[in-house]
Amino acid sequence: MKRWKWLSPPVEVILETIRTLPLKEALAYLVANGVKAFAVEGYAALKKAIQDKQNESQYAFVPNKNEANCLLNFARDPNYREVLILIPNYRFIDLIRTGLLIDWYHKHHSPANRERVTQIKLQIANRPNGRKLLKIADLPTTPFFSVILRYLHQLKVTGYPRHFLEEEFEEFVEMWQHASKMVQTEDTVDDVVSFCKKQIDQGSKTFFVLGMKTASITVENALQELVSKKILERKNYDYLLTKSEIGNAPRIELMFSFKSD
Amino acid sequence: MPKKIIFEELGKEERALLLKAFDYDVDNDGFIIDPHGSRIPSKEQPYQFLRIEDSMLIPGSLEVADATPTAIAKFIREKVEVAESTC
Repeated sequence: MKRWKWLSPPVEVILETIRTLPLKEALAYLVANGVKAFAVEGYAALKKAIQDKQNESQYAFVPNKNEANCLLNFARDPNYREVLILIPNYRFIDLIRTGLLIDWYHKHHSPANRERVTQIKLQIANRPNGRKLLKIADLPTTPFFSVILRYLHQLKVTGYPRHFLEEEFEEFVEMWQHASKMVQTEDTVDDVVSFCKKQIDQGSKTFFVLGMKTASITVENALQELVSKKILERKNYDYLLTKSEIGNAPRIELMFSFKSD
Repeated sequence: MPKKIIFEELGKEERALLLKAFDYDVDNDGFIIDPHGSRIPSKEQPYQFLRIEDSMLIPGSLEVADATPTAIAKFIREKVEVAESTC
């Protein structure tokens, strides 16, 4: 019979062999033995065996299992957990997880990972409303992500409902780039103060300043000036100062918000 | 849906064979053809169709989906984590 040209062992032997094999190995065994399709006389039993294995299987077949596992492991990421608490029903929540993946690639940079980031961003940008979706995916890659989550946490503690937190988050997605300053070593106190004054003059509802290592001192001095000159008080702005350390390096976050009374 | 999902990779020929076991097929351009004979539209990219090499094959009675990180994240959230939280 013609089919024996394709298959060295008889169907019964193949069937018996794959019976105990996991799905992936069973498929590999079939391919290795020339089985390319099931529309061949006598192959119905092989087809059924593969169907049964798939129905019982635990395997989700993906192009890159390491990447998929990385996404899976973000369930334990503190920021992602916070997102799930604050805005669990946010319609673009999966883009936040994608953003964490992009951030992971940034932190493990290599030519291949850079290329992968470009691919992922292109896929997002090509979706309808891609510009906005890209902004959402970019947010977890910035140090302002945790600052924004902290702000939302404050709102939650104050009693704001989830839908309000989602609206606030959406606003941050649109405005965080314009309403935040990552203070660099070469920035002066005047640079920081002038950024804050500009935000206040523009009537920004909320804005952020972040400084790490030596820049954290600049941020603190700038805050001192804003307070001592009563700039915040006169314009009805509150601030929240958060100090932390990454390794031994100090990190300081300042979040300003307009008091609407 | 099984409770514990394992992500795994599969060679192109093995993928094609698995699809064929559920009456899908792959056309000459590498697009997956559903059991009704149509290409499967991407749920993320308008006017694009799923190719064999960049699709996700979901366990249980075979489902074919986009394999972008966002689509995988959705699968994890809706199918894997929900199953875990209810077991």
